[in-house]
Amino acid sequence: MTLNKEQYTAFEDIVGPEYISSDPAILFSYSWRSGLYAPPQDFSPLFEAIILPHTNEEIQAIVKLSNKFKLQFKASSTGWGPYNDATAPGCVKLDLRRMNRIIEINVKNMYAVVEPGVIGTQLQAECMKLGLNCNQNGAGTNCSASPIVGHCGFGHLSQSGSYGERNQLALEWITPEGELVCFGSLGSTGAWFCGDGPGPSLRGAVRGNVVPMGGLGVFTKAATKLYHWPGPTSVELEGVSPSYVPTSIDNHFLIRIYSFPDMEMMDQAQRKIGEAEIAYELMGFNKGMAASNIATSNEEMLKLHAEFSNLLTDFCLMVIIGGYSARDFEYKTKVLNQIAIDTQGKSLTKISDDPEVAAGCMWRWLRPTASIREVFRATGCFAGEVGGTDVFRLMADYIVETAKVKQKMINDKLIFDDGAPPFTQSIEHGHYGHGELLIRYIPNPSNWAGMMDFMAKANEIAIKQHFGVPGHVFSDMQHDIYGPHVMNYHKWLRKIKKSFDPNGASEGSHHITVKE
Amino acid sequence: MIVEKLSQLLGKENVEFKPDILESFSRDLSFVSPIRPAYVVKVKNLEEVQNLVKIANETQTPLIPVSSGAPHFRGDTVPGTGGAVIVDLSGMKRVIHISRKHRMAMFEPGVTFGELISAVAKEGLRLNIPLAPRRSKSVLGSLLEREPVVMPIYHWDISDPSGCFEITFGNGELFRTGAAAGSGTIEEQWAAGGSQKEAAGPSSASWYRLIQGAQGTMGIVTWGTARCEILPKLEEPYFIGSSNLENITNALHWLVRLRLANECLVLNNVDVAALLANNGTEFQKIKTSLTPWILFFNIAAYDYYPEERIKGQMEDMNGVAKKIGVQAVKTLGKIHANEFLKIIQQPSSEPYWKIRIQGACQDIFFLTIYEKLDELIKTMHEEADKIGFTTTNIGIYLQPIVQGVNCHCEFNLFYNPLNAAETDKVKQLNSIATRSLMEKGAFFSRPYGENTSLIMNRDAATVAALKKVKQITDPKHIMNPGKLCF
Ligand SMILES: Cc1cc2nc3c(=O)[nH]c(=O)nc-3n(C[C@H](O)[C@H](O)[C@H](O)COP(=O)(O)OP(=O)(O)OC[C@H]3O[C@@H](n4cnc5c(N)ncnc54)[C@H](O)[C@@H]3O)c2cc1C
Repeated sequence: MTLNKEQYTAFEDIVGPEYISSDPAILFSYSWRSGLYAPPQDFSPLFEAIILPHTNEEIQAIVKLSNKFKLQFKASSTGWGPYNDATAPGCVKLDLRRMNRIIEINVKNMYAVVEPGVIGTQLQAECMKLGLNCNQNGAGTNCSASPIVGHCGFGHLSQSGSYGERNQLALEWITPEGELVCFGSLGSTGAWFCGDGPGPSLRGAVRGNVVPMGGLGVFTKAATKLYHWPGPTSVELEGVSPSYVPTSIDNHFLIRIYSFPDMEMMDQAQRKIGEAEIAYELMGFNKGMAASNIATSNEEMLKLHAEFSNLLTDFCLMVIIGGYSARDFEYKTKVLNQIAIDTQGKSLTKISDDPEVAAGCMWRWLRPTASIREVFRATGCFAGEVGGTDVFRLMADYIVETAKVKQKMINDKLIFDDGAPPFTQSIEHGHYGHGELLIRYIPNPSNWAGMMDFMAKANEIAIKQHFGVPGHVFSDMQHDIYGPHVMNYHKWLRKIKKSFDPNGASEGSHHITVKE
Repeated sequence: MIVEKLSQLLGKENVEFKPDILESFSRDLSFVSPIRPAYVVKVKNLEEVQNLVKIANETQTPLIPVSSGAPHFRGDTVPGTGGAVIVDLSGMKRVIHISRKHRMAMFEPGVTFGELISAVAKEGLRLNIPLAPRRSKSVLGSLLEREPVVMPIYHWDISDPSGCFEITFGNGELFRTGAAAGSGTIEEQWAAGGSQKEAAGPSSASWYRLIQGAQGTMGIVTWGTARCEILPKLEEPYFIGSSNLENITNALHWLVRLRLANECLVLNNVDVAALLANNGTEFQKIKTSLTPWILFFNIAAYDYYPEERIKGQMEDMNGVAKKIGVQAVKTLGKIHANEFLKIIQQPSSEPYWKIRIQGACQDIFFLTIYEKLDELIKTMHEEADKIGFTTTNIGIYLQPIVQGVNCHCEFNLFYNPLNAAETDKVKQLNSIATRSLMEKGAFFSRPYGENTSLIMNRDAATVAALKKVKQITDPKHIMNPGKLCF
């Protein structure tokens, strides 16, 4: 299917000829699939057209036309991941990169308002100038700064900066039928500080631990909470990527990787650090990620991995402390040292004794840009298990279980051998957690088949062993597997979809569709 | 006959239709028009609730869930229509589960603050509670109302400290929100190491957010969980008194931003007096002994080096105070901060502080940001002046919530309900001030009583979207009809 002339012209009338294209070169570039969950095929189905709207009115008009023409639409902000794809013909892409304004930063009440085309690094830089910081998607600061765009939205900073589901304030939503709904204070007063009410909060209809992946209209502006930034207003770097160090992070910061004898000790350390409220960042880390991050080449990574294998167990935590004053830093460091003693945590000397390595890692984890090195080094693409959000230990245990399946794939030589330890995130001073299992692979048919088999087994583990609904669960097929075991939530989710998108215009193959 | 069905289901003794009981549920201390319910039924468990909802659907009978005991203040439990059945959940009093490890508690709707505070304290935990709630207030009811709480640094999201809910939706279907959804039963989840604490989900909807703020219009919640914090090892509370609101909000901002204080709130002299006084004379004495604004905060420390932490945080707090030009003190007038801390860490003593002196109180509350406060308070005073309500008798409570992103602003209009003229003034002021405050940007995120339509009508798009949600959960509109926009 291609758009007929009437359809193309109608869309063109909305945005102007410069901002729409169905040139095959453009369409193919939007459907090239690499990186995350890259399949053996190089391209996903083509969009019918790529449209770059710039205002709410344009988006509303496009959405209404899509409904009228019985086409589908799918919005994206940076378009980084398979959930941005069309899965069948008949879909137009709304690329929101032109909507890239930071609308407001309110210092005293600590929130910012962004359009989806603003990326994390831009918002962070502006916030830091004001002594504030925003949570960042763990994928990297190249993702949208909007709290309701990236898959789950947690990341390195979530220990002190929470995540999208809980950071989001007022929201501007263009429904799948093209109506504009302004959540919370925005709808009643035009201000952005609150996303809830009057009455029940519509935030609950448009996202859960994960976002609806393009399947529920378009989010055009969102307010997000900000947090105190204990560092400098800007950071100077010396050197050139991949070898660089920040020279101006003040001395109220410290980074450590601790290795613990077993899961129990790591879990205890996670809870004690959380309850003491001392960490700016806290993540369950592993040797594969540490090696990939510190290394500046694949060769160096392999060397470091071998070195770390003798030093690190499978139960490690990465901690960053940021003191808002010398006194605060001193106290937090003292507590951290004591907790490490109490839980038998051994500090990785590569980090604690080499200030350059420490500073480089710290900056990559604070912004953060670390994921890129961790996941793309070695094979250039990655997949794995993305757990849900729950209490930290449950999420860690889930990954330990799925790691057994990963180990089998390593043994079968289907994937890169970086061991099978989990990586986890601690959220809100240890109240919640999230776990993932990173799998790096070359996307050929047999490896891909192995990946699919892994995913099926991971689902079975999650359901049979009561680990909740992981973040990787999207699409009708997956919801239909989980739903019957999880209070039939898939039926409720489908009811939301049907109520707000009766024509199924908002491409829902990565969310849920209106099928019975 | 519905009464037979109800009696058969719940036992005759649990179906009440004595006129005085029906009368007591027909009105509350708000100004909503009284409507008598047809019955008041007491339920004991989930099974009864489910069967009750089934009967209600079959007979198109309105159900009004009520968890707290009297007195009620906001009109949300007064029937909005005739023939309604009050579902009294206050007898469901089990504290089901407390986990020190996961810092959470699970409990039924009838559990009150006093009961839960002492239950979690035994495990080394504490709740983030609203300001001196009345003794009969249900914890679950408070969570469902998104009631502001006194420790803003632990209030990351407006829904906090809520966790998961078990709910029978209006259409009769059972659902558990968030992590509690599963897979598996609650017991299986515990055995696996799970805890029903993560509120979001399952997957890409967060049902708890649609249940909160709904005033019982979505379904009947039979248990909920709350996130808890650990009990401090040491606490050091202070006051900052000032007549300058900007100084006060600057101090609030930094205390919350640097996570320096646990309990942290602002009251005017009227509200402090109302909280502490036992009679009118004491009230006047306390009120006149105080500065117009009182910021109260509490520095706390936990297991590791508590003395050092407290000392350091006090130093930092003093630094902040100095920069702003205010001073933290241990006593204000004759009130000692340690005494005040004790008062706000518990439910109110009896009689409830809002009705102790005058007999009644009408609250006007909304959300805003610091920079708007001055103007909104001025607006309130202007409206009170116009009506002839003495502005110096208006209590004001400012509570930073969502870690200081929002400020809950509450005006407490204390009055004597036996004085018809005064009552009428308060009634008028309630609606006129609400309108004017809205004009000036106050956001009434939780509309109650007779101002509801005024508030909801401002946002037609949200109303339309909410109606779609309501259609999903309660297509026959049996749950508390007439409330909000339903
Ligand atoms: C290396 C790597 C690491 C990752 N680590 C993490 C992690 O730690 N935590 C995490 O949460 N995720 C992680 N992810 C997933 C990541 O969140 C997604 O890849 C996401 O797509 C990032 O880009 P974005 O935020 O700009 O969103 P986009 O890629 O633009 O969009 C994401 C989804 O939202 C939809 N969408 C986008 N914008 C809008 C809009 N304005 N209105 C409506 N729908 C819209 C899209 O259709 C798409 O389905 C990781 C991904 C990678 C590649």
